[in-house]
Amino acid sequence: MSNGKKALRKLLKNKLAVLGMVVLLLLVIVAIFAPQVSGTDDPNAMDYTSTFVKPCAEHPFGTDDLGRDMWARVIYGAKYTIIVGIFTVAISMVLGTVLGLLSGYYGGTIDRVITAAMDAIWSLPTMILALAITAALGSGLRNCIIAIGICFTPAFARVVRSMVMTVREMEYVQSAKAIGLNDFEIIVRYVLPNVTPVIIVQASLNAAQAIISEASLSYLGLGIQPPDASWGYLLKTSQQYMGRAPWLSIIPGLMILLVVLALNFVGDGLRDALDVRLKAD
Amino acid sequence: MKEKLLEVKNLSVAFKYNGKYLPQTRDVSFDIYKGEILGLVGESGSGKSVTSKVLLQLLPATGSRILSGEALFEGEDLIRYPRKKMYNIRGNKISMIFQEPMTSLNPVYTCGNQIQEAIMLHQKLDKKAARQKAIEMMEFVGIPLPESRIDNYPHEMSGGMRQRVMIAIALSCNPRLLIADEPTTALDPTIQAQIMELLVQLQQKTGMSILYISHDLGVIAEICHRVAVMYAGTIMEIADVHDLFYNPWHPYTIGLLNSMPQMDSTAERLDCIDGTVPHFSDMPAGCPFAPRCKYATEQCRAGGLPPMTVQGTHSVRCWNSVNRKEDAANG
Repeated sequence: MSNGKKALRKLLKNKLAVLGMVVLLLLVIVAIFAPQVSGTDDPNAMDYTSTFVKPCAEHPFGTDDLGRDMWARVIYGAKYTIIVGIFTVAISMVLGTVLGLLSGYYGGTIDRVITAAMDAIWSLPTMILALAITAALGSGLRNCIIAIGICFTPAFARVVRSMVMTVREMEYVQSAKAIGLNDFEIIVRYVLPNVTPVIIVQASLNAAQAIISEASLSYLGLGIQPPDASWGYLLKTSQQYMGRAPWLSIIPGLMILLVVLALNFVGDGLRDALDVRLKAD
Repeated sequence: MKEKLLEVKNLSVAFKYNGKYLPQTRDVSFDIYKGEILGLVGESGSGKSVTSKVLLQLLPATGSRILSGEALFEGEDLIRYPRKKMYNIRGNKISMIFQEPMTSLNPVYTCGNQIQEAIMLHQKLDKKAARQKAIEMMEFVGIPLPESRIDNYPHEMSGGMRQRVMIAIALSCNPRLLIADEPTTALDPTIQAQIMELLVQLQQKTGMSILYISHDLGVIAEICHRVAVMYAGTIMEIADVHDLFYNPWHPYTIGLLNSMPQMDSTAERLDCIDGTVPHFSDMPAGCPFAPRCKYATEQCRAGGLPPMTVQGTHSVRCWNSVNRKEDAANG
C-alpha cells in the first residue's frame, strides 16, 4: 500500500476530519450551483415592501434592510468566502514556507534579511498594511486576496523558520549531508516533510483569520464590491441592525464558524494522517 | 609498507568564541592505511568529531574556520576540495555513520526508501534495481527478513536495527573510507558487541578502511588496528593497538589506561587523572596536558605545543616520554 493511500485511509478513519470534508464539499457544491440551490439568479434583487422580514418559509434566512433575500445572498456569498479562504492561505503559505525554509536552513545574512522583513510586516497592524496594499494595487477581490496573503506571510515564515532551525540540527539532516545530498534535496526531502505539521496547523488557523480580514476590507470598500457580498461582508454590514434584525448577523456568523471549524477539523486530520508515526487505528 | 588512503597533515580548526576565532583542534596529523581500522579515542570535547566532520566539510560554515593543514585522499585535498564536488565524495568514497541511530534516520520515509536514495544518488540504477540492491544491503548488514523490513519506518525498528540501516546506507556505494562517529555509544552492550562485530566483518569483506571514533578504550582495543589518542584538540599518541595498550608512552595515555576499571582489581577507588581538561578558550602556553602531568618540566609548561616524536610506528607528542622510556629501559 502506498503512502498516499495509507494517509488517505487514516484521514477517512478520523470522524471529525470526514465531517469537516463533507461540510467543505457541500459548500463547494452550493457555491457552484448557487442559482439552482437558491432558486434565484439575482441575489441582489431588492424588494422594499418586505424589509427586515424574519426567517420564514418564503425567506428561510429572512431579508435585510433593502428587502434582499438573505438565503440567496448567503448561498451566493459562499463562493467568495471559499475563494478568499483558499487563496489567501495559499499565497501566505507558499511565500511564508519558502522564506521560512531559506532563513531557517541557511541562517546568517539570509536569515537576518528575511527575519527583519517579516518583523517589519508583522509590526504593522494587519488592517493598516492590507489597506496600504489595496490602496496601491486598487480595490477588488483579487487585490484584497493578495493584500491579506502578504499580511499573513510572516505568520508562516516565523513558525516554519523556528521549526526548520530545530529540524536542521537533527542528526538525519547531518547524515543526509554525509551521504552526499545537496541543500535543495535536503530541504525538499528532509526538512520540508518534517515541518509540514506546523504548516498545516498554521494554515487552518489562518484561513479563519483571512475570512474575517476580507470582511473588514470589504466593509471599508476595498474588497469585494457591493452589491456582491461575501459572508464576512454580510456579517459586517448587518451589525448596525443587530437589535432590530439579529438574524442578519447571526446567520453569516454561524456560516463562518462552520467553515472555520470544518477547516480546523480537516487540518488536524491531515496533520495526523501525514504523520507516519501515528498508526491508523 | 601499506598504502596510505588518507593523509591528514597539521590540521587546525578554529571556532568562534566570544567574537574571536580560537583554535579548537591543533596540528592534528594522522594517516589511515588501506584496509585498516584506525581508532580515534579521546574525552568529550577533545576534537574527535570535529576532526572527522572537517574531512567531509560537514562543519557549520559560520563560526568555524580552518587555520591550517590538509587532508590528502586519493591525491585530493579534502579540506580545500570544491564544496560542490564534495557531493561526489560524501556517501560515495567516504561515508559516515553517527552516534544516535534513534535520530539519524529521517522519520518520514521508510528505511528502504533511505537506503535506495543513497544508492540512486551515486549509482546509475533505476528504482526497481535500487530497491533490490537495498534489500541486498539490508541482508548484508544482518537485518532479518529484509524483504518485509524494507518498508518499515525508522520508528518501527529498534536502535540496533536502525544502526544497521545506517551502516547499510553508508556502505551501499562501497566507500573506501567509513567514518564511524561513536556508532555504538547509544546502544546497549549486547547490541554494541553485535554492531562492532558486524563492522569488523564488513571491513574484512569489503577491504575498506574505517576511522572509528570512540571514547571507550575497551571498544577501541577490540576492533582497531591502530589507535590515535586525542586530548584537548590535539593527537597525543599514535601507535599500533597492542603497542598502545601494553607499552603506552604518553603520560596522558598511561593515565587513561590506569583509570579504566579492572575486573580483577579489588581497589575501592578508581585511579583518575587529577585536574580537568582545559577549555579551548583557555589553553596553556605549553603542552595542553602539562598542568595535569606529574612529569611536567619548565619546557612542557612554556615551550609551546610539543612536536610529534616518531619512533617507527609509534608517535608521541611529548618532550620527555621517549627519554623517560629509554631511561626506564636502561634501568
